[in-house]
Amino acid sequence: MRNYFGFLIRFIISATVITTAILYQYDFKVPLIILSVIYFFQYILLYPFLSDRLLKHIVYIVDFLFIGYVVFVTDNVYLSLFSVMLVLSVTTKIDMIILLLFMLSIFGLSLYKYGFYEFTLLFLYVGFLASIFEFFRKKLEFESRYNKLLELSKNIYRDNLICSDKLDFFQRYYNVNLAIRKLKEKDIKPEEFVEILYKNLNCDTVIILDKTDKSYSCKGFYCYDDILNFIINGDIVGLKNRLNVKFVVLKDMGELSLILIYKDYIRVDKELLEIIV
Amino acid sequence: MILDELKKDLNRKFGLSDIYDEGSTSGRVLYFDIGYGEKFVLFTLPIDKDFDLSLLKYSMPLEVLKESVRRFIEIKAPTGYRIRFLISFDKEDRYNPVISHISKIGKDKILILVNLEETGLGNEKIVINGLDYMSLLKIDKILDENKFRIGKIFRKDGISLAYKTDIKVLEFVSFPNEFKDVLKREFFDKKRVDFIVMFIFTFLKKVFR
Repeated sequence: MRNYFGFLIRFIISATVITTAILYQYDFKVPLIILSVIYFFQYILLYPFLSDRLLKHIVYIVDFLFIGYVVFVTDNVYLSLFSVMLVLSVTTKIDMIILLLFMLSIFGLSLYKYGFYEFTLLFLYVGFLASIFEFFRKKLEFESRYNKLLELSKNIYRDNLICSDKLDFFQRYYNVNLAIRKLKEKDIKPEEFVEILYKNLNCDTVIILDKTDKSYSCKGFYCYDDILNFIINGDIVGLKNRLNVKFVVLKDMGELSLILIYKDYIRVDKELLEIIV
Repeated sequence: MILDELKKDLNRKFGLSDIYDEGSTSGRVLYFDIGYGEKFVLFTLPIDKDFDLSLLKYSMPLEVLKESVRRFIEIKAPTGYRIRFLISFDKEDRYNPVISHISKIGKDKILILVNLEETGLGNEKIVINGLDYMSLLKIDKILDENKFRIGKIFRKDGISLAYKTDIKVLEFVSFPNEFKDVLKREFFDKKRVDFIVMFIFTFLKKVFR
């Protein structure tokens, strides 16, 4: 947005100077028109300089030199008001202060040109300066408020991270606890129970086995029929060797047996497993 | 292009002049080495076309990368192995250049791959899919000894780099974190960068002593 603004200002300046040169009779009409066209194209040429920290001041100096020259040559002091637009086209604070100094020098030049009796121009400049200072003040106020809000939202984000981490843990804790209680009261089918445990405990396999009629429900990778005998006999070592896994958790719950199988590593907080064991 | 800027930045800040730049049909790879040795520890940062520096999700891993480069250069270079930083860009699948680079080096020469995606966002969890049992035990020990508040997670969605390669992969995911996709770069926090870099360095020190 700002880039187009800069182009637009330079275009307006050179177009105005060309129009002034055509409308009024000056001695050096053609050179002034050529100079304005050159001024616009030099901005396009020097545009990459604006991204540099030091070189961009060359562009600004050329701008103010051109305005100063035009004011001096044409005796039209109102053309110097373009320097105010240039001040408003920059973004950083330091640039604005430097351009304000440049602007004041142009203002002094144009006052000198009219012998310090042009009061309309004086008031126009005072008005513009007042609006620039107001803009500054508003900007500073906005920035301080923005920073305050940013700090606040950073703190909220930090708290949110801690809380959501704890929430995740307690959610799992509650789900597992509730599922076990419901299974004991037979409110929940074994298939659903297995599903909940598989989701919350990150197991490779969850098996729940009814000892009386040997019906079982299983979820996961190691759902083989021939491991049921190991479970009924309580032979954990045999089961480990059969499946080639490192961790097997076996829990007797009356008629039911619950088996959790982890291949190489217990991928859940130990506190969650303590609910079951 | 972000890779060009990064190259310039690294050159200016750390004096890294020998940065290799390789382009292929769909992607581009930027890599440089710190330290000497036959074996590699790969630090990767895969980038795809969604990369946007104004978002926290993409700018923080870059900060983590710069901070780890700074520590390796200014504080202590690795001994016995070399660190290779690999920043890759691919339009379709961001992991493609990484995988082809791994096969170029040779799988047996890579000690571990540290994936820096999603680091520095807060609530980092170690993805344990790509780690072996001994490394996991050492991580448990580090976490106990140093009081790092960092969890572990097992990914079942198949997005992680560990699913695509069969080497050891240390990677992180920021979970649970519902705002990670929308937060802007202003939420940058130096503490989180230091924390995760500290963990990675402790891990490398303990595991590959």
